[in-house]
Amino acid sequence: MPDMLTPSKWVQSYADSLFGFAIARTGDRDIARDLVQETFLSALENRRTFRGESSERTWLFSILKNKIIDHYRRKGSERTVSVSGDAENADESYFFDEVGHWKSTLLPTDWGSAPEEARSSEFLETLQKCLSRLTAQCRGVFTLKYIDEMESDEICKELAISPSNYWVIIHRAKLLLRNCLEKNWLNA
Amino acid sequence: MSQGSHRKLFITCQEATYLISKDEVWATGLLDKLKLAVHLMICEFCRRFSKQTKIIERQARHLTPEARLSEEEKGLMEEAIKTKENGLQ
Ligand SMILES: [Zn+2]
Repeated sequence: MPDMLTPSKWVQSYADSLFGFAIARTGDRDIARDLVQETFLSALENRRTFRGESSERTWLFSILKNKIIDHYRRKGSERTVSVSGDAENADESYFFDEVGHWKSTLLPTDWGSAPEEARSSEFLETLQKCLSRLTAQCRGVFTLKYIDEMESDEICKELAISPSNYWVIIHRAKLLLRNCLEKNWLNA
Repeated sequence: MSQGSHRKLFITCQEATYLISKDEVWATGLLDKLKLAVHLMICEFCRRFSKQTKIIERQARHLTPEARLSEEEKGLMEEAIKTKENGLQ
């Protein structure tokens, strides 16, 4: 079988786009770089499985996607270290008082005409930063669901989490992201 | 109707935001939808939460960071690939 792969050109042709994809999903530069490197190496190991049905690019991306899912799974609920020590590491009860009402200091404020401005690059930049502050598991679930638009039941299966746990994580991610955007984008 | 089950029609903001987050047709039952609708009528904060998290969901699709690897990092990757290729031959 003729080899349709050109490993000597991989870095030049695909490293940046694979890296961009990985960093959007892990929020961590070093981890993203390592995952890209691992992708190239396991692609080499498995080059015989490449059938040429998809492009070289698509094939490399599918390997990277699996690496990212492995990464989320490995990290589980492990929490990222927060320097500021506030909301980033909080779970959902952080936002509510004993009777389940919003804490007076964390009430969602009116974003005004924000929906129209939301596409602005500042909004997306802040969203990216906020996403990178979530725990690996929280970030993983949110990313697979809303950036990769994967189905919820598929995400549960891939990450080996129960549906109820899944919704708790989604709830937490949205509380944290909304609050982080309000503090760092709206009131910047 | 007991007082307990009556009170259950009124949910807390914590429960309401959970149901808002779980916004998928198959995932929430009719009763939960009703409870949420009642809550949203009386709570502007959860209405904001709902509106704003939908913006976040929509915008998440446009995330394309401009991150790039340095030439040095790329060089190291190329080295690693070469080494591995030679090792496999
Ligand atoms: Zn409420």
